[in-house]
Amino acid sequence: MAEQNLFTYPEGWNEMMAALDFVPEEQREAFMEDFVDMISSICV
Amino acid sequence: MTDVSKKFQERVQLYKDAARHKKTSRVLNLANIWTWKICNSGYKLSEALFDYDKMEDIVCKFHEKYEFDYYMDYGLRNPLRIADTLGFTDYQINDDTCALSYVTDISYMTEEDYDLIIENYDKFLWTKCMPGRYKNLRGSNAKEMLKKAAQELITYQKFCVQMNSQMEEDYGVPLCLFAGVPSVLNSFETLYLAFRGMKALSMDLRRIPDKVKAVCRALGNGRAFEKYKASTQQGTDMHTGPDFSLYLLAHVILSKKQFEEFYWPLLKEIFDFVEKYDKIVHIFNESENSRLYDFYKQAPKGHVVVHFENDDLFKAKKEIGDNVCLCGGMPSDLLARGTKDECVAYAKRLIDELAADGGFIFSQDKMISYPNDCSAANLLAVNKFVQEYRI
Amino acid sequence: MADLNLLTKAMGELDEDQVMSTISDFMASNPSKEDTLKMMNACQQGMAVVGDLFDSGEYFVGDLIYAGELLTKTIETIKPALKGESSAKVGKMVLGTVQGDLHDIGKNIFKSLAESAGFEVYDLGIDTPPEDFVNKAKEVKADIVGLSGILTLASESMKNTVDSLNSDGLRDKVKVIIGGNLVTSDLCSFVGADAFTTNAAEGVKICQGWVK
Repeated sequence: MAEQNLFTYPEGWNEMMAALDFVPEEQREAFMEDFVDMISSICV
Repeated sequence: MTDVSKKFQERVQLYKDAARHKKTSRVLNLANIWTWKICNSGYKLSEALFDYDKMEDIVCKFHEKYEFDYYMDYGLRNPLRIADTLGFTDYQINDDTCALSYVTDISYMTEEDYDLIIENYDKFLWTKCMPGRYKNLRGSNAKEMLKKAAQELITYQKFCVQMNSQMEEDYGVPLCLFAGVPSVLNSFETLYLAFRGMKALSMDLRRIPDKVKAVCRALGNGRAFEKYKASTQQGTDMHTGPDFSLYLLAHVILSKKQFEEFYWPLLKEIFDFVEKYDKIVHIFNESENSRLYDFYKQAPKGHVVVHFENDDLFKAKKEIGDNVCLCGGMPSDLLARGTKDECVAYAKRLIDELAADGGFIFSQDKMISYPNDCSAANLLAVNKFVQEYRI
Repeated sequence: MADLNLLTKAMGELDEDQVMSTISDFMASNPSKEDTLKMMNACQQGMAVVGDLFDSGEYFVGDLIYAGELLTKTIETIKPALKGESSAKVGKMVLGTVQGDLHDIGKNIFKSLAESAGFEVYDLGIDTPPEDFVNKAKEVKADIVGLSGILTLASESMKNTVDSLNSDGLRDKVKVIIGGNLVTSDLCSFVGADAFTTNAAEGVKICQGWVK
């Protein structure tokens, strides 16, 4: 998939989730959800 | 039992007793101190916010000097390293004035996005919010940037756990309120703080109120709250002060009538939950809140601690003191520009009038952030007094 | 000529559809300057109603933001018919968010209400250094300087700005009002301002009292 299409759903979302290889596979879905939630509402 | 664990137990118990409106021998002293602790540390703000070792040193030394019982924040409030990895630039750090400030009120969603939020929240976050918020992600290396940000998130989460454990193990201080105990950010707050902004949301309340309500209904008190509800057991956790915390910031745009319409269903759910599960929630309320006292009168007694920023706590005590435990009261104006004697006299008055029958936690009214928000000598004098004064 | 009372009422009730349809019907009638000034005045009276409803607690901050936007939109629509003429001004005001603070919503609410009350407002924006307030106040011969801020950091900047007005010999020639979430009576004394408010509608009334 072309990089510029990363922000598609669910294709780009799944592609990103697969790229989080440093997170154990069984935790990846929950991590991805928390991660996106967190950085979407981050208030510095 | 070691001295440290005794202190820990005492602090937890004092918090619970205050929340339950039981009379205590002394009041608990909660630090509503944020970046101010960095300003006198010898480290630059720009160093401390990006270096967790330095932040740890600052937090520990700060505690050794001031010995608060509880903290709102252990330097966890500003996760700039994560935001920076994504090229987020809507903030400024000035090391000369020790000031972190933000470009405020940017809208990262449109009116049309309300429907998408309801239909598929993750899809909205991923396809609209993320590329809107982080412009650098529109480039060719978005995936790598996001991987780095995810690693930074893991590092940040480890630092949160480490900082909280260290404060407990070395100093007997229970979990802080920001990134210690679970935090709830409800859907109205999320719209206000993260997606729509103050101005656009104010317009939406008049132009498309049904859509705002529909999103509030669909997302409720947020995922973190749903996860907390699913994992928690009956009864308050005797290892922490409050079981969870809540921040009321977005209500500053709402009239009493609008609050009832848009916000109260969310807060009512929290009140019902803490009563049913015998939990304690700590609620920080920005600005002046007397128009909301009728709602706080409906709080279940013994379960709700309310930290007010600009309210007259003596008046609040009369009106809602039977239902909620009040927190705050020490004016930053006085800490900044009063004499030590004036500060101590005011602290004494707060304790005498608000804590005589229980139901009060001592703290600063405003979030102490910038160098001139508070004088170190005044803070030391007040803390010594609050620690030693017996009710 | 449109029903001026209806326009005032619609503006006071923040009925955007009614306000905008009245205004566009009016503009379609190729109005005279005199009639346009009357329309402007009716809108301003509507804003005074908004201020009163804010005072009574019926409206709150979000409503003032909405009212400000509605007024701006109305003025932009009406402006061409004024052909450069403006309604009489009651006084000149230099306004800005002080140095180090980037918040402007409160300032903008105050600006809308002040303009609708007939003030000529020179808005210096956000993060405004003291010298910019001084220079602008000198240049336009301001009656009032309004300093806005949300962050507690703004207290020092407000003081620095008033000090600069002092050292430039302007302090006796202008009234200074400070506004925002952080201001208190103590801060007002510390800063050396003449008045403080956390309520934009009240702030405008204070300013009106100064230029009577």
